Amino acid sequence: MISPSSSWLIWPIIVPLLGAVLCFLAGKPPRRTGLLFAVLTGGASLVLGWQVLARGIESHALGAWRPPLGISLRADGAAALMVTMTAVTGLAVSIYSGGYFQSRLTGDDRDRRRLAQEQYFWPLWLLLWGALNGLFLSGDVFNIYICLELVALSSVGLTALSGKPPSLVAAMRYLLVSLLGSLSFLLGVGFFYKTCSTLELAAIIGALAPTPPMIMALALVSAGLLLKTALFPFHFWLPPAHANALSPVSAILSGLVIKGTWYLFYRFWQEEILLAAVGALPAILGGGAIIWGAFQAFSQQRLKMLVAYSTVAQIGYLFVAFPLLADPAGMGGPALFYFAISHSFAKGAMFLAAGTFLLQMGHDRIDDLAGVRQILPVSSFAFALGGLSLMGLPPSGGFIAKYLYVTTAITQGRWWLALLVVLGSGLTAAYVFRAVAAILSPRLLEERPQLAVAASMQWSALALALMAMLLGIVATLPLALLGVK
Amino acid sequence: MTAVNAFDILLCLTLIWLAWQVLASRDPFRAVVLFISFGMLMALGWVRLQAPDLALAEAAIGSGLTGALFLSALRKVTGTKKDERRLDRDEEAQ
Amino acid sequence: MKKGGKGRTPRDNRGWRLLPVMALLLLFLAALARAYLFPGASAAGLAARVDASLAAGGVGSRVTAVLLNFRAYDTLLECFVLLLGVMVVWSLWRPDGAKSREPAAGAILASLERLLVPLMIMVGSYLLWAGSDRAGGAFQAGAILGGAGVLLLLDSSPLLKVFPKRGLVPGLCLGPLFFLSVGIAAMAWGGNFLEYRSPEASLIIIALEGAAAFSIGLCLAALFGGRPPERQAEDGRDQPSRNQGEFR
Repeated sequence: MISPSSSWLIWPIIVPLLGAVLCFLAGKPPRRTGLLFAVLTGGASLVLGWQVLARGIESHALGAWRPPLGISLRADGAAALMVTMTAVTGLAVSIYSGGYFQSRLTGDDRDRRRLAQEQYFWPLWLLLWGALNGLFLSGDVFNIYICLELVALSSVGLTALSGKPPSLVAAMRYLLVSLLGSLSFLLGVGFFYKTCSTLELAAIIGALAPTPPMIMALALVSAGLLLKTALFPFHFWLPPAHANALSPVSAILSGLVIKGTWYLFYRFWQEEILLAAVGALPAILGGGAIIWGAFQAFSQQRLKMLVAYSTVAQIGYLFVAFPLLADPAGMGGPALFYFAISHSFAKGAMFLAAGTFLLQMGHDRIDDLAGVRQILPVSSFAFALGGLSLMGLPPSGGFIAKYLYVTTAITQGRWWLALLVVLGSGLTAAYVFRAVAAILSPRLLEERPQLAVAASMQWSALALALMAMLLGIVATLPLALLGVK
Repeated sequence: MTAVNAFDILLCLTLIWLAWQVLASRDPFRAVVLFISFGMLMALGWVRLQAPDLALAEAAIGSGLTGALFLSALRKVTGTKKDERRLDRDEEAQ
Repeated sequence: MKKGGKGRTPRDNRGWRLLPVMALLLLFLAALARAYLFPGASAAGLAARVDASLAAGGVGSRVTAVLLNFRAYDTLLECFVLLLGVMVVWSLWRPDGAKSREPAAGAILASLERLLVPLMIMVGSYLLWAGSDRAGGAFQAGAILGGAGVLLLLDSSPLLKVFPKRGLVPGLCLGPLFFLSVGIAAMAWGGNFLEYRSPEASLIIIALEGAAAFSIGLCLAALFGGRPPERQAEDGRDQPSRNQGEFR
């Protein structure tokens, strides 16, 4: 059953689900169980990534019923890459969370609420992880809908966990937007089934044609996914939700959750007929997001709010390059995925580091953070490294991604796109510098407060930032994995 | 045949009207009660569409349990006095 | 506590925020209108395939065969959705919120409970059983059971004491956990995840449905209760006399 030779396709989904139930069953905050299952999930995901790299596409017919009757799981290079990305970011966030919840305990009567938060954090987070893996690996559109529901509901629960009024409001808005997106997706799935008589994702994508029912179905599915991915102008719910959540949750939401719906969008839109017809649409919205998000990020006063608006801008990059997918040399897909992974690592590291500042200083006002590097040198370094990758400076994953964007755009003669990417990088540099200048400022703190945060919080953020850097140096491995088709 | 058709049309119109009334209602209690009746009629609609499984689920969950949940939520919201509705702020933002 | 510049309040630009949502709703309307006006060549669906595999599936009802065999993985995840709902509701519960008024326990409600609850349990069990060859099944049965639970919760009926307090969380987890173990056991037997075929399938499906219906009913009642059971550490503060009603 579990041997290196059999397919590990099912385990990255089953293990976290099992862990979530066991965490929920535990009477007290299940930190150990949670961490154990996070490590197991991460391990299973990495094994799957290695299997796909070594042996090619993996698939598993659930219940041994083949599609279209049954559901099958399928891992090609892109899916395995996303699962691996989730494993890396997820592991770092889990280790961070262990230290985070430990550090927040102060021994007074507010600890009961903090313990209650931790008690629900672990099962919700593991369920979310399992659902994301399920989303990446599923080969069936209706099953994807259920995974989307699981992802959305657990994200809403995690967002509301902090209990602050703004985050409760944000979580409610997130829930409503998400439900609307799901409904739209489901209606589209209904149309697909009616037209194609199957729910198998690959068969539906293969049958995409410019006939009215298919266009309608695709429009509904795409609108739902865009709403859930928070692409401009559907972004309004994202910044408050991401910024007001508990810090590990912010990293999860920005680093992982939006990638799930983006990945699905990519699955539907990678076909060339579609790109030729309306490929400019996601690109235009993406361009809007890059510029609008960057300006908003620059004008924020709070660090987590800045990082959250930066996510709005970076989502733009995930969509702006869709016309490039029609590249004959096939470099469009790698560029997009490279961007997605390095954003996940860099943004995760930045949110984790910002959360460490917040916990240590008791606030995250950018202008008052000067001097924080004295007490939190590792976190400050992690934040700066994450910022470097976001700007796209070498040697980082962000640099490789943007290099691929620009070169592919130029070879295709899409000068405006290359220009937009460069302009966006300038804007990113502006807001990242604003934050980094405060954090690394040589000013001294008047009094040096006691270190209040666990070392694991600092080092996990740094590890994630270093992964973003590593992506810039070892580009062959992810690209080889992505090449498995 | 025509009687059946007339019934279906009437059912559809009533459903749309009820849905509108639920949305337009200013009084939440009234909206909840209308929502429950909407669920019941919707279950009837599923029966007409020959989906008895759905009809059962709609009547039990869509109308009964959801209605009970709404009513209980409504009682909690209206039963909280203004000064009692104190949401605790998170310690991080001190 | 000083105000750090917080995000812009949602009020000042609510109007344009609704625009994309309205556009989406218009799209829904257009899609449905088009489907109604131009039904087109309706595809055959999968009914024929379902019928062809029904014998191997182990149950007579198409719906049950799809939900608990052909697409059992979907149902497994749906069970998790419900469990997740309870987790989220419980995580939102605040101990220091206003104590909700206890409704007066009326004699009518009490006698209604004595009459209806056994009936509902019976109807629920019947639906579970009937699901194998006609309308009914785990979700419907669970919903009826949940309804019975809600009825009991309405006035913290003493009948709730029948259900042990410590059994609540394990009861909620029973369905999803059993589903997962069946799936993994099928792999241990050398099959695929959740693989079971005709002679054993009917028994497995009934067992799955029973566990799922029980947990679904409990989940729905717990959603209505809205309150997690107290943990050992906190027990000292609340009256220990109230039984399962404490999660209302």
